[in-house]
Amino acid sequence: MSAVVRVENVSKTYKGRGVPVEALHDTSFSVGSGEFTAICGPSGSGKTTLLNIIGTIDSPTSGSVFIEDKDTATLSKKQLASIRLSKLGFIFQSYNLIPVLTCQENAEFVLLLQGVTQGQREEIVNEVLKDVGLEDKKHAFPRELSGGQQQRVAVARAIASRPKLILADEPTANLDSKTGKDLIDLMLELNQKYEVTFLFSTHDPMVMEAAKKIISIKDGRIVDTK
Amino acid sequence: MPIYKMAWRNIWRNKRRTGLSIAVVGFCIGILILFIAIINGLQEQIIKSSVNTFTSYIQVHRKGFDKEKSLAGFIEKTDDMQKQIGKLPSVEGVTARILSSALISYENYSSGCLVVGIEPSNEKKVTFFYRGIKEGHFLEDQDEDTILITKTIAQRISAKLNSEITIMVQGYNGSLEARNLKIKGILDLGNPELNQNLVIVTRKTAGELTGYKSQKISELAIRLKGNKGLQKTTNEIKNILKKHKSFYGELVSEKDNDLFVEEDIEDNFIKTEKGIEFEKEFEVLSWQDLLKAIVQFIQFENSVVHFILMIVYVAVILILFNVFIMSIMERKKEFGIMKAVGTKSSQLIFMVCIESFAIVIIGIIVGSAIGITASLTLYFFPLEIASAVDIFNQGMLRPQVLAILNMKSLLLPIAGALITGLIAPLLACREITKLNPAEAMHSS
Amino acid sequence: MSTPSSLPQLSKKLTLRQFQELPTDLKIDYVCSGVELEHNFIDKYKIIVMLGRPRTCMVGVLAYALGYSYVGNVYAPIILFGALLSFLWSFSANLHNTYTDFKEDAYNLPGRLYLVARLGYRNLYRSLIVCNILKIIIAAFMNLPCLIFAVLVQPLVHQYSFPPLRLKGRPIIGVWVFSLAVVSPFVLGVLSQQTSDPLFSTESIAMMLFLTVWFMAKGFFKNVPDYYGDKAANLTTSATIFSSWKSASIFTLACTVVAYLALIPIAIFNLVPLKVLISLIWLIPVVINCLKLIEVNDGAKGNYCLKIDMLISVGFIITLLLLTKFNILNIVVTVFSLFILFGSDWFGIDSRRNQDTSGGSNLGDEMIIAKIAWRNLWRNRRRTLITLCVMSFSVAFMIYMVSLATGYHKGIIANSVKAGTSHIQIHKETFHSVLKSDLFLEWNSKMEEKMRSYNEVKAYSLRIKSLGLASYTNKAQNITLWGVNPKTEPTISVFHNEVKNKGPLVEGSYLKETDYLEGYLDNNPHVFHLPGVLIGKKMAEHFDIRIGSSMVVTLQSAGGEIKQNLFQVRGIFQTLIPTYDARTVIIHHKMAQKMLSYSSSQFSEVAIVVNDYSDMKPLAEKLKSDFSSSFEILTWDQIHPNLVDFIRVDNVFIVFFVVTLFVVTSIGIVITLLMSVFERVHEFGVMLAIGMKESNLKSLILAESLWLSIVSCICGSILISPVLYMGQTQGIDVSYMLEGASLWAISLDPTIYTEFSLFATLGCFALVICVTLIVSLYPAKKATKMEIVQAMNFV
Repeated sequence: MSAVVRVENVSKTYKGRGVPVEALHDTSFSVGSGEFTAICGPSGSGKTTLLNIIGTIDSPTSGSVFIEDKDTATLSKKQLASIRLSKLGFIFQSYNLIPVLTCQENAEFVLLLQGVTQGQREEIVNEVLKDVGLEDKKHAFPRELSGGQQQRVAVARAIASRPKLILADEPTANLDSKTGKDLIDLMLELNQKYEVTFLFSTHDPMVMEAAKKIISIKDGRIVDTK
Repeated sequence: MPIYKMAWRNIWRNKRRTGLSIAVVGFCIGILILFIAIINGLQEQIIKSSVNTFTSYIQVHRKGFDKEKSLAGFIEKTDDMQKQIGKLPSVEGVTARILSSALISYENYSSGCLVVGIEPSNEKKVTFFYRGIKEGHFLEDQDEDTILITKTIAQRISAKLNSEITIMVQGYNGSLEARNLKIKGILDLGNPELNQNLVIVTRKTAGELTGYKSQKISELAIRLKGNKGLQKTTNEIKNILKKHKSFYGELVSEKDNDLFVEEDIEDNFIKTEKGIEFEKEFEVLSWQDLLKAIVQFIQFENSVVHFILMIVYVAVILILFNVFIMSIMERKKEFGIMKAVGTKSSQLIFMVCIESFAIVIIGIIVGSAIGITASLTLYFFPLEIASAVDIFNQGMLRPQVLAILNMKSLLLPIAGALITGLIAPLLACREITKLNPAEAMHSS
Repeated sequence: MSTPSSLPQLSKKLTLRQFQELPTDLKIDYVCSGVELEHNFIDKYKIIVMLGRPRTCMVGVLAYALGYSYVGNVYAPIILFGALLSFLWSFSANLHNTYTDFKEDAYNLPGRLYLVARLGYRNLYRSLIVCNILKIIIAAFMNLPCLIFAVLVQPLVHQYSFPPLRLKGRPIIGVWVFSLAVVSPFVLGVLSQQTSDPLFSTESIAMMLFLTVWFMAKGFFKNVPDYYGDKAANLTTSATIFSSWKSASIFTLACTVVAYLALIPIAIFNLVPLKVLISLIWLIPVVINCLKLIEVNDGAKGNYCLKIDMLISVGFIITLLLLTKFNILNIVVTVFSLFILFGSDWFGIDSRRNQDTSGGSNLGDEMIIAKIAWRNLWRNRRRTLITLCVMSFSVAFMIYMVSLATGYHKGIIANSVKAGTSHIQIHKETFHSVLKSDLFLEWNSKMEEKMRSYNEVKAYSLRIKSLGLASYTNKAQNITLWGVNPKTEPTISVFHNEVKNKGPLVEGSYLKETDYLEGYLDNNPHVFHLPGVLIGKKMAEHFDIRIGSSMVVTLQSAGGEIKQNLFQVRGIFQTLIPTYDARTVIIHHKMAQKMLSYSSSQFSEVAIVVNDYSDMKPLAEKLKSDFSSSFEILTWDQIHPNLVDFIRVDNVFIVFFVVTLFVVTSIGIVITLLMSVFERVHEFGVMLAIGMKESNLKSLILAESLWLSIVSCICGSILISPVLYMGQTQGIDVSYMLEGASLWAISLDPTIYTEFSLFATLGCFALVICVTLIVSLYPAKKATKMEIVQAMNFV
């Protein structure tokens, strides 16, 4: 099984107005295809930064990230956007759905950007909404949904484009434990069904329990991998 | 912390928006100041051109002359009047003129015209049409058998400098007088109307042609030292003229020959201590009365300018409405907290109003600076325009795009901006009074 | 979702992804087989536009503008057609290129292959045909010379890349044909004139030669970036005849500099105004760019230089255009060109743009972007409403101003024509300016027949004009005497209209057929009949004369004698021109002939009214060629240059006003859009994170402003329509301004009517939309400049 993501000696230093802060220090690991991996650590440990760098929306100060063996540092902005579009899916802590689009349209959005035709789009969206159990909420706007439902739409959006890797940044942090559990079950299910790789950042024990591989991170360094 | 200080800091929280708001106000003020100054400049030039070329600042004639322009409307024994008017401090010069229709002919051609008898040396102190001489020379006081004609008339009758033309006038007592005169000069007065009509002779020649001799004249033309005190001088002249009233009897004229005095004529008599006297024997008309067309043109132009001003400011007010609503919406939470800790709505409103005024006043400063600079540039370096438009061809002054700053050009745009500053925060203020602190604090 | 990378079934419709993963050779085969990829309706047209590459077509449009600047008398519709034709000229050439060079491009510009695949090879061919037919139709609408030119030259232009000649392969002649891309529009511009003057002046030929040389230099430049590609493919171009990139580009530099400097001799021979040389300031960036080209020695970077060179060329030709003739039309053309030029990147309508994306572009779905934009607009309802208010207000105002100006200016002309000027006057020699009575025309039946044969003539009448003196009691007034024919005069002027018809006659009646007779008529010894006269109100007041009174008119006959006659006042008219009312006296033409000792066939003026104002100039040209050269033939604008100038000055004011209002509104739009962008920075961050491209984001913001402008155009039109209706039916009364009205160029009817003009209104809309889009580029840029992580953390 080849690695979907390979992180090699990645460091990240933020230079704000004050003292430079080292968020990541010489981090290396890889995530294989179809894995269900969690990056754990207390808040401020650098897990979101790590996720952002893997997601190509932030760049490392040194070191490199390979997505399907392609070095992201060598790619142009446009090519990065294209990689995010076709290879990566995102799930955020605060859902981040587009407020003016309905559930269906939110899920459809990435497909639209990919240039998938109308008929195919409809087919795929129907399928993923069914997967996340929200067929009946197709035409609802995000503000009309509960937090759990919104996060499910976010999952649907992430999965709709059939990415190789889904990055989920503390997906359960804003949810109660019941809803959180349901969400994890859903993601596990999808992981099985579509053979998508999941990479979480979390400090929720429930997620860690479910994860097949856990990378512990503290003060920007990997302290444990199991 | 005083509220005005808070307001000042607030407006700089969103520099881009404040900058754009100031830009809107500043741009409007700048461009409007320039615009009004240019309009001022045009109007000033049009009047100057007309007044200086032929009309003069004030004209005195017998009542009704301006309308009828007939030889019956003469005034007599004017030397004394002339002297007295000339002594007024605001008067630069006075001259007498005789006006009459005439037919001039040269060889096979003839043309109707308006013959004007002038006192050459006095005329030069009142109007500047002597500068319009294109060929030949201006008249001298003692000239008798010479005439100046305009280039248009010269062309029409195919006459040249030194040609001897015949002029025919139906005199004041009805007899036809004709005389041969030599063309001493050819004029270009810049005004097509004058160019088609005017021929100039000396007062002496005209007096002989019209039968006025040396006693009677048609009008006195007066030049003032400046346009200020036009009305005051007019009144002063009226006072001087009250003493001269020798001829009215003849004027109750051909039309109402029967000795019956109608009521409306009776109104012309007023009772004085010395018995019944005629008032309104003279008409003293300033250029504002004489150039009715131009005055109406200017009035209409001014109303157009006001209209433009209004439209532009309506747009600015709407834009600033938006700016203030946005700035309040952004700070909803903040306002909620301030209200919760006991700030009164009126204080918040006061703060927003100060913000509004600060923006408007900075806009005014920036805009005025731009407007004034641009206007001054156009004042010192006016642009020549060549145009056949009627209004630009009132006289010998060729119009330029010239900006003249005055109170009007500065105050109108600034007043508009200040009113804008008053109205703009209104909607936002309504928002503040409606604000519920508890809700506002929870909004994101 | 796996892709068959081997043995594709080419006859089957492939999905996008399947197509993308084919090797290039198979892609070409697939496209040539004629099977289309899936695409939707809108994409199809967008792809055609992209392949036509609008931004390269703007040089042609500008050259066209330069061409018609060299001739006068071009009417707006023809200019519009001409501009369209010039645009299509390059547009179809680009389509041709795509069609013929498609296989080569497949390797150099993979993005283009993908576009062709989506459009379909056959559809491309069809669009080509349609384009060419369209061009011929447009040329036919313009005029005959344009049509002939288009039919003759167009095939030659296509030979650039089309077999059999394929001139591209011949270095020098190929470059010359390439230069036709600007020269032909220029020639079209010259050809779109209406007058029968010689087709080409020396000046225009000089400019044509200059443009040829200039664009040939561009052709050399264009070939340099393809040096290595062409060399590898063993193609002979103007670049590959040189041994190295360096020598080819040095040669280009020399050609370019020489081409630009060719302007100097033309200016020295006075064939262009000297000020045009100012445009040579562009030589500085041109040389810098050429030096850069020598240095880069690489196809991709060379292409970048080419792009810069094109921008500079457009800048140069715009400068040239505006220096040649600075008028509103040319400014509009310039703004429009710049809009297309810079806009084509923003809207993604250029096919070369996609050369760096290996997989081709994702067109996205415009409908969805438009939908999102629309919904975004209403997230802050009040703000949008206020912004819409400002914009609708400006739009409404602009339409009103334009309609008012149209109606006002038309009224000025119509009134002045009706007040006796008529459209065309024919006199002997210089009669108009001197009014000498010995300058008369001999009117004969041959001339009458000729006059009747013109279709343009609505009516004409013969007049006699002379200067004279009118007197009454002891008052006298110099006058312009008109001797008119009471039967035909009413067909060309309004002096027969009674006051209730808003005619100028305020008292009495119009002249009758018998108004030249004198003496005891019908043997009635009691009434002595006097010839009748119409006088102006001013004169009536001056003379204090009433209807029925008699007055004396004194004239000098053609022989030089002074003649006097007694006339009876029949009617008093009042216009708004004080000098006219004070000095015009109208009598029967037979009486005038008698007094001036003219025979009954001698007149001083033929006054002609045409059916439509646009007929005036062509008819005047015809008259000039048909009638003796001793006649002066004056059109309305020559008789009243003051009114023509007035309209011009008035236009300047209106433009000033509209521009002011527009700057204010634009700043308002920028404020609103900026605020709405900053509110949503977080959201934009998310969109970028999930793979949206920056260009999509730009489109989104532009779409929002597009919506704003469209809605405000609609609202503005609705708002202003009742006012316009009122203005069109009731008009605005300015009669309180009795004396001043003539200074506002109002001569008869003191009511100003607005006139709705669809053409102008659509122009307003286009302007509003363009301005809105241009100002929204700033917020759009702000939105896309942000780093994603920062944006997502932005609250």
